[in-house]
Amino acid sequence: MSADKTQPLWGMVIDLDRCTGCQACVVACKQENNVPFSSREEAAYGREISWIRVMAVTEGEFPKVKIRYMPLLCQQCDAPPCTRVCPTRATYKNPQGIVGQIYPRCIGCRYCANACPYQVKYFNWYNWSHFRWPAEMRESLNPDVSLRPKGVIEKCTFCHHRLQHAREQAAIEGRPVESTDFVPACVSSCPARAMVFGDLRDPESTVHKLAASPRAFRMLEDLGTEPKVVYLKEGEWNATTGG
Amino acid sequence: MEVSRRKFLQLTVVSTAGVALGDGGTQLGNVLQASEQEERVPNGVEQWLRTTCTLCPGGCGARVRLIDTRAVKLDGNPLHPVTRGGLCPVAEAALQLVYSPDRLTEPMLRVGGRGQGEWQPLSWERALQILADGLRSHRDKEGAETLLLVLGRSHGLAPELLRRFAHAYGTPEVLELTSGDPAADALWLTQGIRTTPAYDLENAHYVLSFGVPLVDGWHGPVRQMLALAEMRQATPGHRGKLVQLEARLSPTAAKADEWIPLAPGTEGALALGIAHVLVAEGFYNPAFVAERTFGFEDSTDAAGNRQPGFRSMVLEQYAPARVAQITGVSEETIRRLATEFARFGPALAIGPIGGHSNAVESALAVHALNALVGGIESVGGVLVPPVPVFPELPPVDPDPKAREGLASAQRSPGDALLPLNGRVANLAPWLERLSDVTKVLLLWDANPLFSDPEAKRCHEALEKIPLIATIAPFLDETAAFADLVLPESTFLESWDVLDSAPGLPDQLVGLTQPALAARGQAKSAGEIVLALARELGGSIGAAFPWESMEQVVRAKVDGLVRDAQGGVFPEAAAAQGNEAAATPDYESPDALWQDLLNRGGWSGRPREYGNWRRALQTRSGKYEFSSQNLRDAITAAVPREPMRALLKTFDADFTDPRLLLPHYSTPLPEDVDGFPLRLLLFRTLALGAGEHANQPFLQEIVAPHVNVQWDSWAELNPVTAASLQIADGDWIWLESPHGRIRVRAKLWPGIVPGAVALPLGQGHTAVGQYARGTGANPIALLSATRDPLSGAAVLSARVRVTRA
Repeated sequence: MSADKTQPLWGMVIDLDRCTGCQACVVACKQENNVPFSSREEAAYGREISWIRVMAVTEGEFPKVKIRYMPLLCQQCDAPPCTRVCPTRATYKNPQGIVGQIYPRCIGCRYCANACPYQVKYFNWYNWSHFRWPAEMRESLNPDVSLRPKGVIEKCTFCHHRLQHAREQAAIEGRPVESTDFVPACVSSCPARAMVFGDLRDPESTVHKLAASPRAFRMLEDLGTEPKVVYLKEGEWNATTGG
Repeated sequence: MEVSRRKFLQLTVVSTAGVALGDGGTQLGNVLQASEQEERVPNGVEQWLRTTCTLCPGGCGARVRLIDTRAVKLDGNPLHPVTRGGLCPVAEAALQLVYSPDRLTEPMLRVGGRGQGEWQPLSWERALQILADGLRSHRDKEGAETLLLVLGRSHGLAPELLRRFAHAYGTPEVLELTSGDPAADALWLTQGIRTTPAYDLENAHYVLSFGVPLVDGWHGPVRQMLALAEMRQATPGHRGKLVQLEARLSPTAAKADEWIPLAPGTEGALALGIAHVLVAEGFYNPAFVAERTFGFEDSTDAAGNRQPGFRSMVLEQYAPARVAQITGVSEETIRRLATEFARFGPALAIGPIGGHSNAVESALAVHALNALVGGIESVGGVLVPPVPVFPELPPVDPDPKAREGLASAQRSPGDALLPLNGRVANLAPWLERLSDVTKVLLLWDANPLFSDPEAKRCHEALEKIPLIATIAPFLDETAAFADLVLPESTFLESWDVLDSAPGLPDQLVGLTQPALAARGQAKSAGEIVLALARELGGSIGAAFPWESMEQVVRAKVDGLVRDAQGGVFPEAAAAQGNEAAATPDYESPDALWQDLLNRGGWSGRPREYGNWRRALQTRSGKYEFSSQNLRDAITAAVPREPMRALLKTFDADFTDPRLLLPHYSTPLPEDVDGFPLRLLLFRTLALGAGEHANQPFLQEIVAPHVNVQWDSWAELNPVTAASLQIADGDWIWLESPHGRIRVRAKLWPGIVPGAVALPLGQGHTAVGQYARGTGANPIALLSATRDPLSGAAVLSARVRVTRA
């Protein structure tokens, strides 16, 4: 856990029982964070950028088949493997526990992308922002998020720009930042209300309570990465009680 | 020259990499060079505006984030009492629609041959003049009925205004396209109400969904997703169960507690098998059946003939052993489903949504399950949707010419039994029949040349019509064939109001206000109608006294104030569910108007139960297992020659009284030599039926379950694929007697053996740069086969698959 106990520990809970795999979070994230879109060829190369994507794993054989949907974003590890291998300290964990990426420092070596067990760090293969977006579409770029040049790694920041805005707002009001002050774009959009965001350290917060659920698990937590994204596994219908 | 630390690092990396990688090194050099160029997005004043998404009938509450005059984000409106701040991916991607480089920005007149793609831009003044001149001369010479309107959607203000225009102009020929709504047809046949039923999903404890795509776009996905979550999680210690019965593991089936695959098109048989067990074991609700239903027990008609009732018919014909053979679902499963349905209520049976030739019959069988357990007008059951909040606009006074036109009978091709209020699912025969009379065709958001299985027939009919004008945001396949193209604005640039979504039992209205100035010269369909009516003048102009769409919306809102219950969406409604607030007293109509604009809509009466007078409007005043409306429809149709042939496609003779009871008939087309597989087509949430195919963010998310982006794919069960020696990712040809397409095979256990499933919506030849040439359009494989009851297209065919 982060050393500075006075800061909120931002975390997310994703209830897989509610999640329908619709990918509203995926599109909301791309629109909010000026993530470029791919082409058919680029997507086929695996070069599409998607800070949050929905994994859909098909399990079983016909007729007993199940798809498990799982939104996968940076797990904002408290012990992130990616920051340790960065030769230029372009990627680092900030005092709020968010794993950041300083684009001008990044030399595009992709060590961090390879070190990440969740495969959620993305390399910019193309000069998207200069050539890809038609002039009309550039109108919808978000001024709060910088455009990434070709050759750097980019990743989910828990919509850090929204946190900055929340902190400015709290400072104006002369109070500390609270658990409910901001949510990332993915959480805000989620039509199934499957995603919850807040201060994991605050015992009154919804995320704190949900993270203690018996359904809660963290992805690949045995690696010691200490993820701050918590998943709740799907519920099951009880055939004897009918509930 | 200053050499920064960064520049220095770059140079060293480039020089070493260049040696090691040869050409790759040069590329890496480019990478690093480009990263030096920094780009900034201009900042400005931030503003959030509440509105309503009109991309589907769901009408979700939305908020737009504006930076100066640019829209940079769409988000949900947390005050909306149903959607509570959530939005689906299609709405989230709406800015790629608004800011698409492919949008039509000015009216255009065809200059070359039809479909040649040579256009001349026009001013609105000139475009409306051309259209009005054409209309005027044909109306004077050949009568007002020479105008045909084809509406591609049924929600929002535009359909009401276009119908009003048709009425004032004097043409009875308005066709509203639908992909079929078997549940609505079933409601008409059993309860005598012509509407899409509403479902009390939130309060159901057990749902049998016969292929209803609850979470993939059906009637607005946000409400269905929330309802599903509520059904499972709202009551601590209790979990509702969703059972999905369909041939393919759809996203809804994946999220269901149980997926039961069944042979394609056999939903009705399965429902009747379950009904058999309910009746045989006495698991039904005897009080409801005795008091509120008609045709359950045998009876004797006036001539003294014994008429079988639902009970004896279902006991005789749908024993689980026979149903298991038809559906491929085991007897044991059929019995278990019936037991659970009876035991763990409130139980609800919904679907199917169509696509097979027996869809209406299947919907009748499924709805019979609700009647058996008394799940009608009850908590967690099937409800009648609320009346719209807004009153209709004041009536039109047509001139003599218009009255003459309106008096001419609407020319139905007469090949469907239940044409629903001018909604048609089979455009080709209608167009063919009307093309001799029609002189001017006005299309709105309709693209039959892409979506109609008989596109070729539509094409031929269109060629005979002298003037074709279309209102559309993009130059789609049909617009490309028009003479006059009128650019339509998107919902973020328009005024509109949306009533409660289909299937939703709560009375709601969402207000859509323009957040942006329209791109180029684009106008909303409503504005175009107002301008055209003004141009035509006379009684037509007089029917549209409003100067702008804002005035039309205001006129609607003023009507609402006088009559409606409820109030503007309350602040902090997010947590309160569906409770409507009391109407606050507004000092002036302007104050109410301002409040509506600020909060996004009005919530009226909450859902109501047990209103039998409203819910049972049949001749018997009861739920009719034996449908008298169907009997009337058949009696009326028998003298019509096309119907006689069609009625023969039923299992039963049309004089057989069992035809009036829920029954199962084999889905068409039946086996064809040399085409051993059954084709199934489905919509995806991302692409719909193709209307969102030009948005890159949506092309990226089409199919995570088979790892496909920007393409079509064909799902094959590994067993089927092995017999055809097809491997995952192979290019294959799909051939039907009607056409062939080339796609990639995806081997996947989520589809029944013997079938192949493809998504609708890809394979555009027009619309825009992202849609054009992406994937293949499987409509090419379909035949003209239709549901003989509703006329809806059959989205299925017999195909063969070979390696390409």
